Amino acid sequence: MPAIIELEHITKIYPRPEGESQILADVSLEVMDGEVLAVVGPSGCGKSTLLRIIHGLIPPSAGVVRFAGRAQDGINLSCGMVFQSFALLPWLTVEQNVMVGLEARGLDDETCRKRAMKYIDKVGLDGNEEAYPRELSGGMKQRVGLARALAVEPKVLLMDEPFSALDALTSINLREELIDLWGDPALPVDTIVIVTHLIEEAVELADRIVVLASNPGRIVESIKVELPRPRERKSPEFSALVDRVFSLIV
Amino acid sequence: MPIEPLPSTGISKVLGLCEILDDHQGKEDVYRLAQDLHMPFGELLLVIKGAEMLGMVETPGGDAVLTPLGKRALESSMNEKKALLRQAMLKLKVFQHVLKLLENAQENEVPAEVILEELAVLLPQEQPRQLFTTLLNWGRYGEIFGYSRDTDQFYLQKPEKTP
Repeated sequence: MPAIIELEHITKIYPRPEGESQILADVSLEVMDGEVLAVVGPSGCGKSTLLRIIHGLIPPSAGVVRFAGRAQDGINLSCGMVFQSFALLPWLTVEQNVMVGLEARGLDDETCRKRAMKYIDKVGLDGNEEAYPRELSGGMKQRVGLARALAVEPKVLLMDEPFSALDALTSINLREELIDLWGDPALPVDTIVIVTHLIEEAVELADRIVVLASNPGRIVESIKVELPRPRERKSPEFSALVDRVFSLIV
Repeated sequence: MPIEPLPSTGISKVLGLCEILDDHQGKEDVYRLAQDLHMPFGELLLVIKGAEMLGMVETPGGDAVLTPLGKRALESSMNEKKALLRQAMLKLKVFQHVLKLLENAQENEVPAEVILEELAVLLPQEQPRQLFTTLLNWGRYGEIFGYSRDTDQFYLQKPEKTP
């Protein structure tokens, strides 16, 4: 499996009135084509910053990001992003929210609409096209976020704590559905990078888990998850891996 | 048989409950489930009630037990799952009633106010607005009916074919 994303010696420093604050220190990482990679770590370890650097939303202070072998400059249009806070526009309907990213890419109305409907269907939102975000539960709002990210037909899906704002039952349901979507050969997305502070979530979803430490954020371990799918959340092997990751974080 | 109110819960939670029960070999004590999930007991009861009404869970003697239908929903594709839930919803009197109302209405549309009034008459002990929200969310998931806030109309859902 070749690397689709390569991070080389990424450092991120923010200037502060009281002096510089180093968020990430010399992070080097490869994301393999077709894998689900989870980035875990304590609050403030820079995992969300790392995700935004991968997407090109913020530049690193030092280091290089390569996508498919090429140095990245600016926003990577081959990535789609799902946010913890859903980031929906409240004055737009579900369909219009999904179409927003497509219109921004210059697609014509008809293509935008067809594409939006396809991904609304894929995430189980059909029937809700005319709903406004305030009419939806948290789980349904995140389905809109997911449909919007998938509709741009990205190669890589970036997810920043996508299920953290949801209750336990809804997040279990959405995690299962995410893995179904990842395995759907009809979808162009085949690589997922998910940032989470929930270790069980990482073990359930990922092929590989990268553990970050904080102050400044740096990689302490990369763990391959070789549990068969679908994952048995109650199995001793699952629990042992959760414990191992936990011991690296605390 | 009297019309039963819908519990104030969402379909994603019902499906999540089925996943959890599947993790527990299809059966778990309800109190222990609430503790494991760190979920208020009352809230979990609403989810269990919803799952029970849809035929996905049974509740013998303080346990929640996944039914064959619940297990089938977990193993189904998204569209099959939605079709299963649609069928389950259409067995419920409150859905049958609203569906009939829409089928007999001009252009299969009625103002939301009419649905609210119907719910208040049919289930006077319930909060009509809350029931309306649950009915709408379930009905949208099952693609039974839709609602436009712009026109404030409830309408029969006509599923759109996607490529």
